[in-house]
Amino acid sequence: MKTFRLLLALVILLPFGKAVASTADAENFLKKSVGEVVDVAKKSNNTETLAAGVRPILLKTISFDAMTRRAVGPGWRQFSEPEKKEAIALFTTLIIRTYSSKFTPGELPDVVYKAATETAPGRVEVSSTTLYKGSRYEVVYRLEQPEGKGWRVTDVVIEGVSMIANYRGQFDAQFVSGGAAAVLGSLKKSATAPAK
Amino acid sequence: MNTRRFAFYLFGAFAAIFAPEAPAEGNRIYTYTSQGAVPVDLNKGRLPKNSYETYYLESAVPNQPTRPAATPKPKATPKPKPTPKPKATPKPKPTPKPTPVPKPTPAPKPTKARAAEPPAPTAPAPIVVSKKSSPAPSAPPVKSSPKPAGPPADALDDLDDYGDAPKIADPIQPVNRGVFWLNHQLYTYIARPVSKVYRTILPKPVRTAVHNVYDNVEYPVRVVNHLLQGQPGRADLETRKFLINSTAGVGGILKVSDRFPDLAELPAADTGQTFAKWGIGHGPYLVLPVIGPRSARDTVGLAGDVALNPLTWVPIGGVAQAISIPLSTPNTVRNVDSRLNAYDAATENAVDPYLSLRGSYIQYRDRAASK
Repeated sequence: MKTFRLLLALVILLPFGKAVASTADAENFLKKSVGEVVDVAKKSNNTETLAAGVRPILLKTISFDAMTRRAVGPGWRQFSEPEKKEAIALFTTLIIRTYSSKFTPGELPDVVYKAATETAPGRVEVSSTTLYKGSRYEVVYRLEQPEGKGWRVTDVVIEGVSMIANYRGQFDAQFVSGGAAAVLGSLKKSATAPAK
Repeated sequence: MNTRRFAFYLFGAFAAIFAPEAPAEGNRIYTYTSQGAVPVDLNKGRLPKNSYETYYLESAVPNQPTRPAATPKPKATPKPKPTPKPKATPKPKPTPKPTPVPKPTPAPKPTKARAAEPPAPTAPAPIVVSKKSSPAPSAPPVKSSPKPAGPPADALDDLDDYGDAPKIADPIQPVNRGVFWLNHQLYTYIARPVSKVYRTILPKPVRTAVHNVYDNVEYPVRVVNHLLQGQPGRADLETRKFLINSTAGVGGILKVSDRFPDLAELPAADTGQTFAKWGIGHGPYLVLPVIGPRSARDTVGLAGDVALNPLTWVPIGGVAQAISIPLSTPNTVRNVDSRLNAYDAATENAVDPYLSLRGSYIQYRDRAASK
């Protein structure tokens, strides 16, 4: 009877334990990646070296595929395969530049993580408070496991502003005015524009 | 024998009554894929389970679809050799340049005010309604697949609900874009140099002290709005924060309250936020000269904030004006400085800086209202 109860408890708690484990995995993955970025920022002397050093870390941390697809929105279905590849490549450049421009070489953020939450099966949100250059920011990282490749960041929300939602608002207008060609044109223009 | 025959007929009658009805010709269900409108295989007359696709009655599918490759693909029949997909545009192979994809047919010609909304899939109204799809009066829903947290009807994948574009009415967009351009010139040629001088003259600790003092002085704006929002607990914390910073923080120069997590993470409150908590919507989007993005609601709220700000209580005219100007000038400069930071964060690396700023502003304010 005792064994049966133990088994029953295990069966009931097993899914919960799995969820806790996956949440912790996502949280650890994020902390490790952010730590790597901070290390690069510590060693960099200028913005160029910082962006170059951060790129490989971001490539393995962020799912640019999912990010681009969702940022473009329903219009994505009308992109041809070469257009999709080009859009992902351009958007990757843009996101990496946006992310690296938030850091000033030598100035390090103080990040305090809050408990990660599983908002849906396979989806975890990690909230954090970042103290940077004397200002306090609330940053939420959204992580998923796209195509079972392990945890990847799919959206970053800074002070309530979602990166994906913000770009979708812009791409929608471009798509309505000129289809995939207009989206690619504007992406190309932004990605190749000199950094301010 | 008779009993068995009777049972057989009875079963037949039940089967006839409850059997799923085959869709009548002309009443098929369609969905849109990359190949355009494709008929859906109904499983015993039911739509696929747990699907978030948007489905359309055949009568609602236009003959001339707006998708570039919208010819319905012939289904089910096994083909010895797949026929090449009819493409609207010939694709030159070697050139890496994107093929000129034709404009989405302007059948549901979107107005400029709708620019920020996701493009409508095509003219027909969806008949499967998921969480965020809008009800369509033209085609009544035949089946709904409710799910507590699901993606929008036009989602690209099961988890695609992050990308909902922020929405606000922008009926005077051409005017707003004009003011946005004007503000950009003001920021570039006046505000940025002023900010640069401010940063050069005052070292960072002094700038932080200036910010802290004025932030502390604006206590009445926050405490009154906490109370108006029905948050006496927050008003109490705000008062403690003010008292600690005014005394231990030497008139607010030092933000001693940051050492206490409850006080450090106390959300700010303003009149626009209070209106939002009362259920008042954004109203139309406005770009105000110098001030920048605001919704109509927050523009009215701004008047409330100004009235509650002690810096504006100094009467204008005579000697009082002489006090008022030096009192408010550092505050104006620090506001310019922080406004520029927010402006740069929203517009740098944007595809359309105007839309990026509008989207950032709405998301930021929505979050403030939800706190």
